[in-house]
Amino acid sequence: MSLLDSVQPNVNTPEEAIGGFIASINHEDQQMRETQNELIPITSDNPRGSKEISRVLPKSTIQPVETHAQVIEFPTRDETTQEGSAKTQPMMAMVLRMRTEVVDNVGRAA
Amino acid sequence: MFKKFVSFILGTPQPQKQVPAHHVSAYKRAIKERELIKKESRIGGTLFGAVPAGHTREFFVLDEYVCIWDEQWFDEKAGMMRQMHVRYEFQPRGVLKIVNGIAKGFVEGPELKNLMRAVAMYHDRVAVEVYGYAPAYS
Repeated sequence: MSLLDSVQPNVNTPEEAIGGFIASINHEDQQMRETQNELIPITSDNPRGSKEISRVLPKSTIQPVETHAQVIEFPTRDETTQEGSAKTQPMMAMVLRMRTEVVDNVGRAA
Repeated sequence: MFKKFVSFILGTPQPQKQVPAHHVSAYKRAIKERELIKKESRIGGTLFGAVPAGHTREFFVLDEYVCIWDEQWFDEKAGMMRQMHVRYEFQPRGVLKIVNGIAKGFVEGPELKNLMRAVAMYHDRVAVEVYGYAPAYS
């Protein structure tokens, strides 16, 4: 997937499409830059929801890895991502529990 | 074997094998699970504002460790469908973002906050709108 492809979704306004930025960079720059698409939920302070942002990432963080097992190559720069994972994961577990409960009832009925 | 051959020659139908009950059950469970994920995903896709025209957006919790954001759209310039498939893996070391199969690193900063908020909103809405829990549950 090329860099241009990754900026296509969620474009709300021409300004956010960051087309000018993309058009001005050459191929070498494309390898250095990484466009990051982010989903932003609708809240009172952000009634429009998603938008696109672009940021330049250090080269080391954009080296692709093939499998889940190789994630140890990524440095964890701060603890927030660990905390975020630890705080959010239980909510996902609860969603799964609710889903499993319904699915189990179907299994029992069958 | 001979019976099969004769029935094939004569064109008579062969008796159908009975599917074991536990296979039926597993099938029904799988269908139900997909149906529920689809319902959840419909809610998840609305959490982030209006979906651009021609785009299909899905956002859902795949299992207790993985969140999926999938977006598809028609690229008029290239004349083909495009897909953006993002997998957020909630690991003990952090939230790993994998875009179209390529790991991009641990999510940090505003994106992490937004993702956390999105999952919380997803949980709250799904509990009420799909599973019928009272809003107090969330």
